[in-house]
Amino acid sequence: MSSAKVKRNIGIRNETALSRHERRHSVVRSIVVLAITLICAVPLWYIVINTFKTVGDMQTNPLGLPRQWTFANYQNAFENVPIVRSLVNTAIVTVFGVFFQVLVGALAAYGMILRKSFFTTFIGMILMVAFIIPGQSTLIPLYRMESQVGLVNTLEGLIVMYLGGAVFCYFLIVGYMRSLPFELIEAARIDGAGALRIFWKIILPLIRPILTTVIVFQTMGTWNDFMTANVFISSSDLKTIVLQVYNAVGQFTTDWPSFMTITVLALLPVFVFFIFCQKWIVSGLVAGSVKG
Amino acid sequence: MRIGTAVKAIVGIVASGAMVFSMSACGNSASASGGKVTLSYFAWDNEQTSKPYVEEFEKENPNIHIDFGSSTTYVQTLQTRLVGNQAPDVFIITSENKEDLISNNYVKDLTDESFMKNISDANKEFVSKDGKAYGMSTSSWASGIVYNKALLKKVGVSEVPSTWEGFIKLCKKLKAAGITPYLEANADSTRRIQDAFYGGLLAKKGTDVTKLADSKVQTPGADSKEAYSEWMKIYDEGVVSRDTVGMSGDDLKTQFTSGQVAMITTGAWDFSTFQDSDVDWGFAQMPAMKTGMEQYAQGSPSPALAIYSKLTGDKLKAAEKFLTFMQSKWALKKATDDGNAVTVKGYNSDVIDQYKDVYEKNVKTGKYFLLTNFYSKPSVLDTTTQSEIQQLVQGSISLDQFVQNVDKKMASAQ
Amino acid sequence: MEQSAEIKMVARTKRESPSDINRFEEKRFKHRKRLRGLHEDLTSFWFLLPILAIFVVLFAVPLVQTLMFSFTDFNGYSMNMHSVGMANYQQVFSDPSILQGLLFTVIYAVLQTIFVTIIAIPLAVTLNKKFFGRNFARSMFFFFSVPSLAVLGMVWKYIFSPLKSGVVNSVLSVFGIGPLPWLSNSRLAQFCVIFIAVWAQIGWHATLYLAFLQSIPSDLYEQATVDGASSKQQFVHITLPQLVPGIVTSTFLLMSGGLKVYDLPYTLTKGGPGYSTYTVTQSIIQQGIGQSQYGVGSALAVLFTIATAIVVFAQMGVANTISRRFQ
Repeated sequence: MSSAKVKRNIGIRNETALSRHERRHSVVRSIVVLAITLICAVPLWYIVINTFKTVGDMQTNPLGLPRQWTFANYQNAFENVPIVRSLVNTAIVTVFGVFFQVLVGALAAYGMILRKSFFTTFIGMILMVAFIIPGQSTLIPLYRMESQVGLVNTLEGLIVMYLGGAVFCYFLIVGYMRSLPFELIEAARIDGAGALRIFWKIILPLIRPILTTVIVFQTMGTWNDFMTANVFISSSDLKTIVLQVYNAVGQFTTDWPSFMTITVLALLPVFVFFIFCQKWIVSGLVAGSVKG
Repeated sequence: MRIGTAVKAIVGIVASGAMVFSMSACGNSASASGGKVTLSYFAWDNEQTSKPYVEEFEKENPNIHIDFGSSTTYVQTLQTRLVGNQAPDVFIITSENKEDLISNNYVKDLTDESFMKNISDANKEFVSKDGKAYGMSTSSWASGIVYNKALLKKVGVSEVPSTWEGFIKLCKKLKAAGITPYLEANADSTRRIQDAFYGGLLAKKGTDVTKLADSKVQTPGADSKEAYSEWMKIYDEGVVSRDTVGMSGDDLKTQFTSGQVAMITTGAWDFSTFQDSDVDWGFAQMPAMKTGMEQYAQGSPSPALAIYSKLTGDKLKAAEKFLTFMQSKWALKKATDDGNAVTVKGYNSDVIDQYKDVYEKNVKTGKYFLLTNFYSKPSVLDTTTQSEIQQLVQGSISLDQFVQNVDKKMASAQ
Repeated sequence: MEQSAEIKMVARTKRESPSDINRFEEKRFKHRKRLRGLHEDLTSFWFLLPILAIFVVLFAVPLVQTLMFSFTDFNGYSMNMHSVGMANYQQVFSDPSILQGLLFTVIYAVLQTIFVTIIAIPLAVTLNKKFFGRNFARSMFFFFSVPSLAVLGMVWKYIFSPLKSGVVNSVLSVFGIGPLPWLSNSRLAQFCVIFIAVWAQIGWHATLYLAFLQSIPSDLYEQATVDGASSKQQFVHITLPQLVPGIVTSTFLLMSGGLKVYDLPYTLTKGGPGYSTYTVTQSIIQQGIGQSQYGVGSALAVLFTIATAIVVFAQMGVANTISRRFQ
């Protein structure tokens, strides 16, 4: 990315030279924030650490380290549940779903700020309705619609359902675009750049923080979706990983070890993805000048 | 990023996407045209439970492939698929959806099928309407009292009393000894004791339970008031903690296996956990509501297999084969091993020792009762009683209010 | 490389913008703008077309169908239905459990919006400053919102168990408190639901604010530091006003999402004890699916959509007024 080399005037404060006063603050900050973080992380710790315990150990000692580390839960999960297959299915719907959601959302946001007219204001209002409809009430109409065109029980059909997330992307991106100086676009226009060219060359690099945020968030949402996949996917070959998590929930009892183990396996890829992406969220604009 | 590269990237992604799609499409058509019959089966039980049956069936019938699916929100998901014209070929009919499935003609009449010959009458009746049976249910379940033998011994008792009065006395004794006597899971499975009491009450009165749903005004609240007032004694007399409102079946199970409670109500689905634990446990019949009444259990025939009504040709034959298989010796043996109490005529279920008492005295004799099997609008009844019972146990409403709230809700749902 | 030059140029233009030359140029823009008005309408339309298509197919059509169902006796199983006029709407108003559901839904939505906002903003500001372990803290906070609330509910049920052995109660017993009847007491159960919702969402909203913080020009802070403003003053007079677009976005999402809440209370308490954590969406599902009264469920969905629209648009109106004051 060539823009990464550009030093911009907008961005977080210059942090290269910390005064002694500031350094002391930073130590206090570290202690306080990390303590709070760790307390808040207890539920996640609970899930992860218990996957290495036997059922008995888990009940008598829910929060401590395992008395004896066991990998039997993972072994069982891989033996009894088509984990890899489900992960692949999930990856396919997430990659395509999120790509199109974000693309459509970003294009719409750009179209919206390009021109303020009665028409765009009206569209803006209409799109808000998408946030208001309770999803559960439109499940049957949507299912019948996809059924008529033969898209139910296919990954393509699931991706189409996830395109609804484009409205969410649009909303976040347009909010961010509005906070950008509009003169940038005007100036590029004077230079005779076309609308699409401005979008690719100026807008996209500028909105990278929000774009990354939206991509990460939609990836999490799509990856973890239960409600849509549960209804639209009926073959076990096409199941996504979250459906496998719920497979451990029986009609009367829950198989806790496998529930938590598959949860961990399902979350691991998104965790890695987030670690990979997170520096882009804040460093998008200032990359090069400050290392996150 | 240059426009050219960006466009190339998009084209690349779309193209690879198209490839994935066409690949999956190929997969679908291959399974349909390979000379194999594909039968879709939407199960109530999760994959771990159901898969062994499917695999064995496919082994015995290499020409049939079963496209298996299951869901934790079974009733809701099945409904969406049915109304979306995506009915599975074989699915489950149960107390929550039998009324809707039968009256909307989604399930095939199985009355005269050969595989129905040995199904017990109680199980047939469970999914019957106007004398026609629409599902094949091969087992039943009954709940009871699981008890910790060592804890009971501490107060010199070896058996769970056969009457409620005796039961409450035992609870008081245990409590006095510093032992938590009894817990029930009012967060997710309310009504265990109440249904048993009400079943016993109806039997004593000689009521024909199959006619309950026919009456125009449904008043399950008023009908069962006596049972509720007896059951509430454990809370009114302060022997059991009102915190059971927030306890789930899973909570109870962990409390019991860690030896922190003497008795809980549950059923065969938890037995394997108890077997794995260090607790020396027994499973007793639920006490009778009053002396002179029979010891009923909360229980019901298990969910039944049904065939989609519009199925024809090879698929129908395959579906019938599958149901025949599901009541074969192999399948029933497997069901027994899984903790189910098989009720098929001519099959002797060899249940574990702890289960024998309840199996012989409740399951086999049909002395069990489930409120939602016998009133119309079972889902309304189920969710309403649950919420109202929680308030009753909390002490925020009186028994009279409870009766009134339940019956009002039932009246508005008709 | 070509592009970076372009941005530099643009940036330079921006810095010089208050000059007279620019004011002259602005006039020229306006003239040109009028000429190109129609052309621009069309351009903007092309960019909006994909989202409009998605909106019509995935939102508008199903909503219209729901509206149609709400006037029928559709049972959710058979498409053979009859018109019943307004009967379904009458039934919605006669059901007391729906009213209780509405009450908790509103409390939930309002409280989660308030608490998430007042925690997420300082959190984002802190996470934007430099300190040891910042990346770790950022990742963790964001990660709380990753597992779906349906999964989290199951785990929290364990943690907030009213039993002595529940995780929170075990911790409290170390300090000689409790055990508290977390999920057995109506008030405490409501508290638990809201607490978990806030816990799960602060990280993601802090991340959102973090992204918005990046668009605040750093010269504002530099100027303020030169003028001797304390960090508290900087927060109140620079950060907060500059974050207004972010606050508008975040509170809108919290409010609209909060009113539609379903997963968390359902997995945690199934709406109990009694009806204390019962929500409107749970009611829609129970009516429509559990009770084969899809028409009634649809009527409730329609009414609720309208009510939510009013609340959310009112909130947007207020937010826009505030943000205009700051700009």
